Amino acid sequence: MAAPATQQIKIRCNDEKEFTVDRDVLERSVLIKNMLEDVTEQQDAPIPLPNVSGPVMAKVLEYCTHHRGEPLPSADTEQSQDETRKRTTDISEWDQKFITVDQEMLFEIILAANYLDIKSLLDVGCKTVANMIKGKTPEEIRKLFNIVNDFTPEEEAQIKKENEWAEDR
Amino acid sequence: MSEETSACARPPNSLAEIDAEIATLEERLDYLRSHRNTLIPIAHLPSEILAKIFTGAITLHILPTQTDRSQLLWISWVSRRWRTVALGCANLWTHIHGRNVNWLDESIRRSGQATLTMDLSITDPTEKGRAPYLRYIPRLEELTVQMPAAYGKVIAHLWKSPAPLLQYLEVKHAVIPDDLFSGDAPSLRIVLLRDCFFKISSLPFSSVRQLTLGNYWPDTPLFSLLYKLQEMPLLVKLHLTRIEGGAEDDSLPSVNFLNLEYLHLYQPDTLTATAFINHLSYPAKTNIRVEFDDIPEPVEFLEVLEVSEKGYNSKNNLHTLEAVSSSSNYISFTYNSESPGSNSSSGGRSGNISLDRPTGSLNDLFQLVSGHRLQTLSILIVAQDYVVSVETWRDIFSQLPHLRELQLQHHPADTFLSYLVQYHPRSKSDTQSFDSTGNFLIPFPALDTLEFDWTSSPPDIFPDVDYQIIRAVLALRQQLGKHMRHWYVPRGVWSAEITEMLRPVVEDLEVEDDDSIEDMGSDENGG
Repeated sequence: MAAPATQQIKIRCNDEKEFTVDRDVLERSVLIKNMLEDVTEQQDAPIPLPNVSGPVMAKVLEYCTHHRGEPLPSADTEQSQDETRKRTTDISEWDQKFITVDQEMLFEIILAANYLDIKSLLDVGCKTVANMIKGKTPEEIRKLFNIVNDFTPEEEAQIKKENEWAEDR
Repeated sequence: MSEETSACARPPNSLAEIDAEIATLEERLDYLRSHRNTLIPIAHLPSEILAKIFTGAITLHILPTQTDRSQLLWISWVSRRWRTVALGCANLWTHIHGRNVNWLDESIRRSGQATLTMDLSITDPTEKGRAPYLRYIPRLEELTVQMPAAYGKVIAHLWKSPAPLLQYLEVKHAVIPDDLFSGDAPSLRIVLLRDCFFKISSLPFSSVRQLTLGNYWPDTPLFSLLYKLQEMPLLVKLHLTRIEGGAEDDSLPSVNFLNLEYLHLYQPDTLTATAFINHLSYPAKTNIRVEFDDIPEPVEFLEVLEVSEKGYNSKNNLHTLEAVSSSSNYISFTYNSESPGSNSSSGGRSGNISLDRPTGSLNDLFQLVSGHRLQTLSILIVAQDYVVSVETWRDIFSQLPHLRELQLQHHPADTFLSYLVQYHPRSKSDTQSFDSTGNFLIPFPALDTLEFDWTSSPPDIFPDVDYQIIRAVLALRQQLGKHMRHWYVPRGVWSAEITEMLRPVVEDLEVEDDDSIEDMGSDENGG
């Protein structure tokens, strides 16, 4: 007897781009998983994802396909606390290569992971940005992300005072 | 022409008008800068994600380094939005550290209600204003305190606050009151008290896994210490400095540690150390290290060694007992009990001796232990002027016929090879050194493993004896097979030719290479 075919799910992005994806790949997203579980009858209409564009969704699906079948992160509180304590910024080799994109795409992926509730992808994105920040001075960080110094002179004075306090050791 | 362009073209006449216009323009600039920052890609991230990124960027350490602290400040100085997000993230500000009380107050304010890590190291009278911060004990997860006794008395009442969250406590130079934390510290796992005054019976350490009591801790009778340790059955590591005043006494309580892995006694007197160890029971995996102030004669090691024979523990339960002297020329003596299934015959002990910069006579020591069927000998001598003579080597091996494994580092390695080439003289006609077929005779027949490390040998240690050495080495190779391992040779000790001859016969031969020399040179040049 042939194995049952994997269920295919259709999704539609905010630019009308549609994808047809294996259900287990899509279920890396807790948001979509919950939506599919709430729907009892077979639906042909694509699931609308109004907060994600086609190019970003393509990247997200690349990630979900690579990690399909892996256990989803536990919601265990103790584990989460432990993770926070370690504050590890290790990223696997494949994930590092995957996340090597321009800044705009990087932030779009992080936003999509947050919206779709894909914790592991959100972690990879946040760790990547954290690693970009590490060891950099305020001016270097501004240059990196194209931020301008928008502090008022009064705020600058407060920061200077704060610096003197903190440096007094 | 627009009204704005027109205004620019016609400058104001009075100072008041100019100041008003500058203010308007500055306000406009402020607005434009802030508005610009809302249009860049990273601005699309919501605050909670930005906070998550900051948390990842700040620290990988439980106790943050200076770099971690600087990074936190730098993040909060990038822009107004980043500052707002950073200041709103309480978990970023939980490490309370520094001399400036304004900064301590600011950090505590920013930390909200999060649990704290606090370092109150007060060494100067001008810093006593920080002592009252002990009032935050109920919020602390980790506390490091250094506080002169004079301040400790003033704020003694603050030590009495319950510490329900505290996991790590390190105190130096302080007076600790009898009712520390009012007895309430259920999460405490690691405690280090150094140069402190306290009464051990009153400390709430029942859940502690690692305990260090260092230096000036008071004259606690041995039985008080043992009774207190009875309350800490979960201890894994125990370090005690300068226990004294105890002796063998049947009335002393015994303490049963099911999880103890490491016991370190630093500078005890011999009687107290013996009595203490004899009243502990611990798993076979426990490693015991006794470090004496100074031990002039090897015989004192044997006094400690006897602990395993007559004490509370049977020798089968003792895994490793290590006695060392902490003086500059120290000697260490490691004794491993027989493991089940070892093939040593009864009537003597098998074991290991580790000599680290030995004092006294090596011959005396080896005579004392010669009945132990010694199987492993490890010797490290760093002192340049300490020479193990050829005669000593000969005596050593005559007393240790069962030696199977030899580990030599630094000078012993040098003189050992000198011994080989001198004790077994130069020609094949010498029948003491060569058998009938001309093979080199090894003077220690049981040896099957040899490890050498010449890391700091002077390059001229083997003048003109390269080829005699290689003959000895090749003979050793014939006996030892693949068990001749881990030879480290600094560059210049042997000629390249000798090194290449050794390479195929010595497993793990490591020769300092040209690259490392160049690297060292470039480091020095680069400052």
